Amino acid sequence: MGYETKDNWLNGGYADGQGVKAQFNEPSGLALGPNGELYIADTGNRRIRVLSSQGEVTTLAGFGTTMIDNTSYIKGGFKDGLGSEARFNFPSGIAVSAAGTVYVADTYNHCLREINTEGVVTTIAGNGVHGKQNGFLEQAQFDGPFAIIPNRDGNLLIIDQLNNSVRFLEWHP
Amino acid sequence: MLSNEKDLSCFVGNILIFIQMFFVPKGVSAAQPTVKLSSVKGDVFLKRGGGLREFPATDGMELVQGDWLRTAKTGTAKLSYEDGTEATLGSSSYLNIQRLTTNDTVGVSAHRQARVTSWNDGHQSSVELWSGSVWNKVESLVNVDDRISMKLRPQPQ
Repeated sequence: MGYETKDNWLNGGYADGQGVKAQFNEPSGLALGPNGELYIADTGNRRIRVLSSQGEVTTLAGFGTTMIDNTSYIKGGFKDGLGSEARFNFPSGIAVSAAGTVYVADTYNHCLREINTEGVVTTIAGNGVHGKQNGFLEQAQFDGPFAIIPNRDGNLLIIDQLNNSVRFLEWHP
Repeated sequence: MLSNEKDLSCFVGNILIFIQMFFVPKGVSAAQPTVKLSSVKGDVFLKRGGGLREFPATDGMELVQGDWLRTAKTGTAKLSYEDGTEATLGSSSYLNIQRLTTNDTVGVSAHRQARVTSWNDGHQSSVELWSGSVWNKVESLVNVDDRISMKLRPQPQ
């Protein structure tokens, strides 16, 4: 609620809060956590948000307030670290393990990110350069990873969109 | 043995061409990336930062990683880099800014389905042309360690 319409387009916004007080900005990913909370890839805000089972929306990770000129989108960036300091660039796909670890397909950083249960963001695969390279985590390259899902064994399947591929990441955290 | 022009064309079209040329720069500082639109003519549209909304493109717009640039049948536009490099996007084209890390990108190439990649001072910037055409003009090359890489993809048959 409270979104502004400009040029016949409903612009997204950014606000944490209870229920309809919260705002999102072209969210594109959704995952259910082990305790019933919903994790949301809030793409246009370059953030990962959480909707609790009580209806409260908070920001789990992502920072940045500079807007792309003449848009409602926040500029992307790249930074690992505490959730409140971490930067994403078009986070789109999101998944949550049974242990509560959140995985993010960070599309325009061309990499996969992890948010641990302490809220710390790290990069788990992809060196930031777009390409298609299999190998060890630091060697792997993606081109616009867009969706991510763990399989039964905890390994990760990734839609590598601009490579027109499904990639498989052996992952034993 | 390639017996005629068609064979030659087919042969060339199915080979991944990699051309690497070595030029000059070293010690070039990695400044903030700056690529702006100029000479926008006709219908040209821009999706910003990977977002869904398409905006009319205008001269002076600064491009960011994740932008998608589209020209209609009547549209053309130039991408102007700070170092004087220009890339002209032809009509009916679709181009994605995949990576933008320095301001001194040297784009090269291409025609349909070309990936334009360049490096400078250890950084990489690149755009990918999904359809249409782009022409690049290199205005300034700084020193011999500059590298320009051009990759042409074969057309789907």
